[in-house]
Amino acid sequence: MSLTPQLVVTRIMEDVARRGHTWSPETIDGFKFGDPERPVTGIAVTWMATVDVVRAAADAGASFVITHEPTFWNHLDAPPQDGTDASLYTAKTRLLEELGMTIWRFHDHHHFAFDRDPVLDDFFERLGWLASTSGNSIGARTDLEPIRLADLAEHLARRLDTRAVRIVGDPDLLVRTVGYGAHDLASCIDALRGVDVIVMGEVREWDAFEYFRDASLLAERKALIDVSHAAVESGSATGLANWLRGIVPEVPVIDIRVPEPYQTFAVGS
Amino acid sequence: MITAADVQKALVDQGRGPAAIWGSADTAIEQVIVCWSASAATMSAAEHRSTVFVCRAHPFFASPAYFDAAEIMDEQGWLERSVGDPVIAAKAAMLEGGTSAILWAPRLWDVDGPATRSQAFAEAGGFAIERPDPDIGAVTAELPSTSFGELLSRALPQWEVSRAFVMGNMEDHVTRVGFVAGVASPAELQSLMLDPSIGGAFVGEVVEWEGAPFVVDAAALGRPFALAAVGAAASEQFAGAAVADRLRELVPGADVRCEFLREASWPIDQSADSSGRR
Repeated sequence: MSLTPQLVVTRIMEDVARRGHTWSPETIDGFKFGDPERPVTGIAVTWMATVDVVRAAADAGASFVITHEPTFWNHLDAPPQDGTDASLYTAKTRLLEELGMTIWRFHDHHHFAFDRDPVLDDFFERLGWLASTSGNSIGARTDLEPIRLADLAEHLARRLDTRAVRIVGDPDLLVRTVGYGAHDLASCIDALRGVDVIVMGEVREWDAFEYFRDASLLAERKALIDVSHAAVESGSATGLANWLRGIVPEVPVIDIRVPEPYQTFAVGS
Repeated sequence: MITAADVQKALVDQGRGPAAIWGSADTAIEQVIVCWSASAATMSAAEHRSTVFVCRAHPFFASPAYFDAAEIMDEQGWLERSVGDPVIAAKAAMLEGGTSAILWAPRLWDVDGPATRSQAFAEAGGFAIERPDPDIGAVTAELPSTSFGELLSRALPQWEVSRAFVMGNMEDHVTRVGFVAGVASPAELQSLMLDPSIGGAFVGEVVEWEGAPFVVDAAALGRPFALAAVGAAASEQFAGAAVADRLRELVPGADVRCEFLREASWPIDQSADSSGRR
């Protein structure tokens, strides 16, 4: 029996179950494009199945892409609504068909179907914080030697290899404890009470930015460091590929890094 | 005598809801301050005791879709958890026992349709826009061939922004550009890309799993497109002038003015005070 995307997914589910975790059908994870029964020639693991990533996967001989984030530019990977132009969607699906590619999304279970969230562990490890961090989910707390907020932000930029770092708060704030949030204030408001600064991967400005702007004037000296989503999460594809090699030994498994989508342009550039 | 509740009712009657009030709904209005965010700094600087702050961003930090998704927010426990938060409590205390109010009316910013915010954004950056499409939020401007980076360099100071996130080639020359205030959706970006003469767009924000990879994929599939995301507040707050004009009609005799915010954040290689008011 040849290896198919469906069989790979079955092995993933079995491995999750063997480690005592439940596979929930009510998540965003699932096949997003292609034929789950088409033979797999190789697997590419990535944070996002962009066109460049899919082409690189095909060049490497892979026919199955496992992606953390959506492929078609919305959380549900829904096709464009009626009445809106679908030319880019059509072009991308045509490319995927030409390359014989199957896409499967592994997002929700990637975060919670392991003993520890490997996405966050990879993030903390790259920062050199794994040993000093308690918890491994939204609300995790890291204890640090006292460091200025501005220096902490530079540390993140250097270790995560990004310049897409923004800060709301006093650059001279002395930070001893760091909390972690997802993409909105609701995800970190509990953790915020016990830390000096929250680090978040891609936040919208209307909630967290305005909250920390007010925090600097009202109740407490708290700060926010906002890092790009890709910088926080994309490195986790390497660990995911290593894990897959153990349960799918028949075919090559590669990980493809996704670069940050943007650069920072400052006045005077 | 006109109160915040009167203004709220007028907005809802005109189909410009939701409109929610915190603070004193029934005090006669002395002054109206139109502001993208009713920040603590903006509120502290008000000159009159009976001021109504008319804002677009939720004063207690919920998403603009809060009222559309109240059930989801409740499932996440936001309402319960936010009650004891010291920042939210301190902000609420600014209104307690006073005669001022915050009127949150996000759709009021679309004074003349969905392109109002984008039009004000473009004009504040020094661009002369073409006739906006009444059905979409984007507007366009035609201009002499100029590199996108040069346009951005000129516009950022006018938007009083120190930095932008950019995508695409800043050296590419463009003769027509688009503008999308707030978060630029893939559908809005697609509508701009359909016109081959449009070389790029200035937007408020792009989401990293939506608009940003859309631009990345478009370039990879043969449609290069430059993009600069200058920030939500910077892209939306200039529509406050049109909001103020509309409110002068609704509240005759009241002192109505706009307050603009400076950037809330600063990038890693610069420092700035983030007190929130310029």
